Amino acid sequence: MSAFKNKVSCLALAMAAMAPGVAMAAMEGPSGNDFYDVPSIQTSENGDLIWYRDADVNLGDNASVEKAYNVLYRSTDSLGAQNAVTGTVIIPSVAWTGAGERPTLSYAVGTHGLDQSCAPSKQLTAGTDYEIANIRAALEKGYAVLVTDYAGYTNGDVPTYLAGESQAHAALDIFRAAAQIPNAGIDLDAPSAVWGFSQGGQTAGWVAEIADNYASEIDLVGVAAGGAPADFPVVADFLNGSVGSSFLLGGIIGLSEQYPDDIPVNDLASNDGLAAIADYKTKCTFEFLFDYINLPLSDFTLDNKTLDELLTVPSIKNRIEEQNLGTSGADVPVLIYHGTADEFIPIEQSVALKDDYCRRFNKVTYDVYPSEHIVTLFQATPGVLGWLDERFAGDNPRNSCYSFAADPVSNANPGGGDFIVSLDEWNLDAELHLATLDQTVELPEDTTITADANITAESLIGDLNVPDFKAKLNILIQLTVGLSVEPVGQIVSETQLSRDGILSINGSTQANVLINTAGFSWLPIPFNCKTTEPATFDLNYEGPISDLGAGNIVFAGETEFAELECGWMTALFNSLVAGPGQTYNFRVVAPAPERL
Amino acid sequence: MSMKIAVVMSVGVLLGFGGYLYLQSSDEEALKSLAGSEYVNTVNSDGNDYSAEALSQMAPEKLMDMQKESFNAVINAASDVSEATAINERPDYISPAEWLMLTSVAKQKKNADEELVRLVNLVRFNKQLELLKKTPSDEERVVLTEAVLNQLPARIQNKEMSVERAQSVQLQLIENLYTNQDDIRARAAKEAQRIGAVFAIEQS
Repeated sequence: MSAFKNKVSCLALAMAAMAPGVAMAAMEGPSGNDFYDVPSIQTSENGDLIWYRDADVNLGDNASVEKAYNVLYRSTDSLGAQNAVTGTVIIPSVAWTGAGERPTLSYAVGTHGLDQSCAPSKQLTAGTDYEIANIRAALEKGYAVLVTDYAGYTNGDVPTYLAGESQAHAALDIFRAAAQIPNAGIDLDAPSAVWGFSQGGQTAGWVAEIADNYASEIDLVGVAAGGAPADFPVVADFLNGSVGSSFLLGGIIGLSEQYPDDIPVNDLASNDGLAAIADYKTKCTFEFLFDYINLPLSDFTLDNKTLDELLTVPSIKNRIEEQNLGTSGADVPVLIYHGTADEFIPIEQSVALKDDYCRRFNKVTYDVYPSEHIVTLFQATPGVLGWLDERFAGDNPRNSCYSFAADPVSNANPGGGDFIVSLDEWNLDAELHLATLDQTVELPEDTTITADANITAESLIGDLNVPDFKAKLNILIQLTVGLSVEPVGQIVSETQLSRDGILSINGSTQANVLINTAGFSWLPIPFNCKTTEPATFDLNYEGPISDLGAGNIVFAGETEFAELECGWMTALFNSLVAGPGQTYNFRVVAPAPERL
Repeated sequence: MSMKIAVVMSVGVLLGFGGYLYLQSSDEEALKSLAGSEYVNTVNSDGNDYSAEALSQMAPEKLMDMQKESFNAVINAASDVSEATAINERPDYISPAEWLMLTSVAKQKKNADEELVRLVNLVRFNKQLELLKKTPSDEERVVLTEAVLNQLPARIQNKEMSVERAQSVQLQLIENLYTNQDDIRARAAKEAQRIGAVFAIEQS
């Protein structure tokens, strides 16, 4: 322990001794990794701020950050024992323009990994956190954003990954802690909400169920829980031996940290299993996702005990089932959302969660996304923030309990094989800029891309579909020209997802350009011009994986149109349309969600 | 001239021009109907030798004849490899209908006069290329080939063609120009140098 921390601890202890049961004055914590050492401070209340410091978060260029802090605060684990949790508090630079006080959002992160370096507070500082896009979007709304690390990222500790109640405590107690940072402007009376996806969705669901009992003084107006594991045995079975099998292994390790007596993982693991556990604890999400893909849990257990066999052990079964959501009602309006193609968490069990809440007459809004897990995490952001805005404004939520829409069913890619992200008729917001005419031609709205991004095989293969369309070309005044962009062959690309969550795509596609007709829409005359060779469109992109769901993947470049064959009009159209310097901009957008 | 008038006339020109081969008698009736509309006698203020109205009134056959005349002019002037540097009136190798559209496009640019010169030179070049594929005359083909080869650097300089595309055109033309492989290689190397490309064909 550093000399600084010794001093702080002595001071804190002295203060606690002088005023038992009284909240301590917040104090500044040490710099560097010492911040993650838990001092010997006795605090009396959940959410007591143990210490804080200014934080230098890196959320990318032009992020709306006025001020950020790291916090270490008291919380309570799933067994009721006191613990200390780290986190980040971010004050946006944009003003809150809605009614009342600036709202506060506790953003509950998804799986980050068990190594200390995976802590959200550390990754937000490093600029490597894969959920930065969502945090940025919330800040741009004008919300103050709190990001708990959850328990287990203090030095020498191991995260109790997927221990739902502990996570919910951490996500609620950070409201209390943030309000104690001097002059940070966080008010516990401000309208508050919790939003999370995946593990964060589980956290948010737990918050909805315990908030009234655990933190009734927080003005919680809503909870958004996406991609949430609600039925743990079902999810465990779904993950076992599948593309998301690493999350099952991580869950067993994490829950064994919370319940060491009931899930004695070191006694259950084979030698290979023990080695895997040790290795797993050194990795973050996009490392173990691929290192432990498609492996059944029996690969790691003594005598190759299967998941089903482990779940016959009462202590294990009970602790795993304790993490389920829906065993009690939601105290606040809840937004549940899920992707039909979710390959990690099956959508049916989130529909069952909605039904559980509906049976208790809770207010539940349910959004269905046509996407897989990671895409949904980021595609849902506008919908979630819109729903939160309504809650902060005091509007009544849409209640999907009264919807007659059919329940969504999973169309996820089968597990056990390659990790494939299918883009099924995704929209392509595309435009071409014709050099000579100096004119931008927008491709029709129903232009789509259908492709399989095989993350395992590092490839993306698919097809463009561009319906025939009409455009007014600057050749003669308001001349309407019927055009086609006719793909030639398939999109072929190398696609990689790096171990720090960076997606890179390097490929191309080819297409001929056709001028089919010219005239007014009521009098089109056939022209039948066609490029004699297809133009090549390079499709290159590199950026965070969040860009895929957020609609931020843009393929832009320059291409050359070969000469056209147009009968007697060939020379003219070649002079006006063909040649190099034609630029293009294709933005890939996931299909729209449906609100039940 | 109102925008509506211009639109009707422009479409009439295109109807007769590009759509000639496809028009049925009913379409021709439609064309004549357009030409006989209230806008027929509107004067073209651009000083073109044929106004848009006049062109829209013409029978498709007449427009096609004008087009053929412009191609003949391309062939006749092919040995003159120099490019126009200023244009005051429609060159013979640009048909009236093409002239109408080229001036319309050029006028949209800030450097309208320069753009018109560029487009006129480009259309002539493209017509030469087109004729090269169609002419049955060896003599014409040689003259046109030399004309095209001569203009390729200008096409690249004007960013109307990439170096790669220009070199591909060069090689096709040169292979048709000579029978001797050494001659082909020598000429290809020379022409490649003119467009700033590297000629790299291994000797067989």
